[in-house]
Amino acid sequence: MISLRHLERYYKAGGRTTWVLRDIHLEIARGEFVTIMGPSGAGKTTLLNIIGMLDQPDGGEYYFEEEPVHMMSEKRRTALHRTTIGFVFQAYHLIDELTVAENIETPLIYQKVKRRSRAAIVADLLDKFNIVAKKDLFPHQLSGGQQQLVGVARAMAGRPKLLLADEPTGNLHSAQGEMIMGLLSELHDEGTTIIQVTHSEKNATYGTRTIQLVDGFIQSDTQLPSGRVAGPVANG
Amino acid sequence: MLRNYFKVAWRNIMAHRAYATINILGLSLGLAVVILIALYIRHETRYDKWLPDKEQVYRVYRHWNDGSNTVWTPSLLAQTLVTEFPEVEAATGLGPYGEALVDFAGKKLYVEQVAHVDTTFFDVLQVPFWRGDPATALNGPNDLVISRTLAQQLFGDEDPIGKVIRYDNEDGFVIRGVFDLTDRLTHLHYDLYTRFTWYAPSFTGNNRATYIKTNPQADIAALEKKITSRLQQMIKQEYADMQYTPTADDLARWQLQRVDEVHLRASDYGWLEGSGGNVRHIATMAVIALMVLLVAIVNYINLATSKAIQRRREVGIRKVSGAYRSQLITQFVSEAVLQAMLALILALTLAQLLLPVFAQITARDLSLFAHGNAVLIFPVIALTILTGVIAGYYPAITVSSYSPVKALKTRAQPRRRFVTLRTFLVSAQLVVSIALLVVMATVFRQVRYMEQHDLQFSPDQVLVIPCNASQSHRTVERLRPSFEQIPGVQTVSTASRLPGMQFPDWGMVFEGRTDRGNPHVLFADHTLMETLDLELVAGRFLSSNIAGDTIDHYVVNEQYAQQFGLEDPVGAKVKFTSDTTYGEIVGVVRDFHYRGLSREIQPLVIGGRHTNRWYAAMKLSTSDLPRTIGEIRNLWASVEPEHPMRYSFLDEDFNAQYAEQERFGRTLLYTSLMTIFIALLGMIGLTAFTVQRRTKEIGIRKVLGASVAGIVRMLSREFVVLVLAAFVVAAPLAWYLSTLWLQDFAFRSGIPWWVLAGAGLSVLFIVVLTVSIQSLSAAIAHPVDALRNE
Repeated sequence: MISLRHLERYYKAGGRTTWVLRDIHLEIARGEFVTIMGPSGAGKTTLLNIIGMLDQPDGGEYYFEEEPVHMMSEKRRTALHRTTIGFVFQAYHLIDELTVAENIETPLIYQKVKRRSRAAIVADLLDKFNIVAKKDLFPHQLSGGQQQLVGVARAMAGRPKLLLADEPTGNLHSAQGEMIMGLLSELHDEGTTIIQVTHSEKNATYGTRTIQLVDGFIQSDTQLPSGRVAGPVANG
Repeated sequence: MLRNYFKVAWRNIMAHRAYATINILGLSLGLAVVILIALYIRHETRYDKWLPDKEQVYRVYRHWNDGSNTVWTPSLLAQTLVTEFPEVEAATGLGPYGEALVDFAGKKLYVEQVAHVDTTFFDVLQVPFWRGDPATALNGPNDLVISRTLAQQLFGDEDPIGKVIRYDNEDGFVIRGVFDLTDRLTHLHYDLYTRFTWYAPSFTGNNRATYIKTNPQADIAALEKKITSRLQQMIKQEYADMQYTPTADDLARWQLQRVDEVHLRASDYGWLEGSGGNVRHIATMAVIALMVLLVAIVNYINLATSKAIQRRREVGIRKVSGAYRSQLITQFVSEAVLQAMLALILALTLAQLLLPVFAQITARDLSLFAHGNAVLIFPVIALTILTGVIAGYYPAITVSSYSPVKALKTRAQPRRRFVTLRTFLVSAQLVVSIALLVVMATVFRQVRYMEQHDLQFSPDQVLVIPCNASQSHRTVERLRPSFEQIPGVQTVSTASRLPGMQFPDWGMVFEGRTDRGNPHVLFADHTLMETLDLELVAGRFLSSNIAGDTIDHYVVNEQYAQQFGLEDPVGAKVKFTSDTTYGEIVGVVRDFHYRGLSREIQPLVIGGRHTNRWYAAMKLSTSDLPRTIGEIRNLWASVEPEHPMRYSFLDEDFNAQYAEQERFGRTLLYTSLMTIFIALLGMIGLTAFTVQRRTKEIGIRKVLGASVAGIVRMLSREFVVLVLAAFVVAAPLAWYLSTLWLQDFAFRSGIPWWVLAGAGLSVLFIVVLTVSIQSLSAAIAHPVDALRNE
């Protein structure tokens, strides 16, 4: 699904080059749940942003389902990303002026989904994520865990093939964090490819593969045996 | 999609009410002022546009090389133009007659606006008739055409046609036509037209305006040349017959002014009863409207831009959610347009509320909906949408250009470009504010200057009574002892004109010289000097017991002596061009401002002839004014038994000549205040943003030990620099605009340096105050609160 070759990203400041990502080779197949780990400043978020087409590499190649993303125009990239990729952020990033339902609806509007189908999709998601009662509340009226629930629901509204999560539990306390991770796990089981960035070893155990990033290099790439060591076993 | 945009826009407005209020209120005030001024300008430019053949109707005027003009023309002109020039299809004279008494079945009424015209008048000026036939309405010498308003007053609902009335002390005048100019703006503000009673077959006496109707193909420039050369020839001939060699002053260029331009240029053509239009005022108002609009739009853009920066995060989320840049731009623009439309609704309400005040200060009958003014709404809507688009577009393209990664990073600093644009826009507002303050101060100072300036005569407590018959003044003089016995009456005079009125000028020649002068002429009796408190500087004033004083002895002003080169005026032999023998100058009075302070003092000659003495003037000194006037009224019944006495006071009449300038000054004042208020609103909004943007910096500085005063100073500094920069640009601009306005006045108050400095300092003070108040709260706040954010 994703193929990165010789990917690099750097900043030039005062004649010196600071590397963020160096010579990244990475193949991610459909259905994987990849965890990117590493110390602060290792380039995790940058890598995630590049995969999510929010940022561009300074060198190397990026193929998304065989298509060369590094050669696309911004418009083409947006078109691709809006239909295939969903994002979950550490800080939730909900729009303050919109209600829960309207926040979830936003990506659908940009995908030009008809109003009636939008309502149906939003209703489904509210139901699935168990937040029907909250649909007319504004973000500031929700707890952090609930906000992130909405964030995930919004990311899933466009039925993305790929879900990118940047420290999705970073602002949550542990119970809420577990709930969110359980949710991601469920989505993975339903067939969504997921890439998450995290500092938490525990969160990594939800995934099928862990990549360690240090100083812009991939230091290790480990397949986890069962896809989930800890936590409840998925039904079926 | 659009629904979603507007929903977000609406919630944004509600969530940031203070910001939205400032933004919307500022724009709506600006739009309201623009709407009002547009109404005014539309009103002023619509005079006589309804005349069916306005493209072919012209008023003739004379133009001299020094740039002066007059519309006073000789009675021979109309007829001459028709016979001499095939391009001229019809021509008519029009002479304002002032007021006249009409009397129908015992109902007496002074008609204030009476005009004498030729029988061809309604052929040239096709005023719509309500009753009667314009082609024949003035065929008889005693025929009258009146306005529908006057007909209503005189006859009620009865048919006015054929009614016989007493007009101007003569019986047997018949109403032949009634015209209806309701809802039509015109410089022809007369209520009664009748035929000229006399006619001088001469080119030297100018006593009427002349209008012509040309054929549609006429080349006006060529016609003006032809008229000038032919008339100069005829005038030279007439002078030759009088054994007089005309000078350049006698031979003006003859030019044509289209009838629908008459109102706007009224003030430039020496017309007696200018209907008050002034093209310069229109231009100034247009400039002010533009400035107000500019300030309001700049405000709007400024605030919207500042606000947009705070919405970077939303932009980032939307981009991540799959928004194209164009969709985000559409969103921002539609939000701004929505706000602008709200502002427009508010502006229309404001305009409607302010209209009575505005109509009063401009002395115009204005209405938002009458006269088809509703069409103004289309350009105003277009303007509003444009404002919204401009205000939305600039921040939209900037904010939407951020990459989502950058946008979602909290606390990213706005781009430098943003800040410089805003700096520029704020400076522009400051420039406008300073300039307007200076102009306002200039207007104020000029008005005060005129109030306080020594006129060199005293108009106070002078009662003016207009006479209705040419010989009434003799009766007044005969009854002078009785008038003077009334307690409170000091002196009684009769005069042809009084200060503040238009003075006719007559040609005068000096013995032993070939040149000629055209002094203003005033005929009065020997008491005038006392009544007006004039100062004698040489010789003596007219006297009641020296025979020649009522015939050919003259008193002149200093300007007369100076301009006509009379070093020793007393004793000089002079005569009017039409006189056969020379008379003598017997005295000189100090120059007095008989034409008001907006005009220069001209040479003036005062004679004692019993000519045109239409006014009685009485100097009063009384504490019981009603009683004194009551007794004068009783006695006046024996002067003009048929006419009820009317009176006014000279100081009020005199000041009335400044009315248009005062009105204009007041209009300027209010609109300027409004502009400055809008600019202030913007300044408040903007400093609020600045303070907000720097909250964290303020917190850090306080932790590091900065004092409250130091922080306020730091925040004010950039604005102080802006004010100083704005002042440098505003000072010459303000000086130029003020000078332009002052050109209306011959006697000016000037623009001293401290007015400029004062305006600059006031703006500086207001700005520093605004910034200080806002930054004080930020500076006093506990630094931990500021730093905890994020």
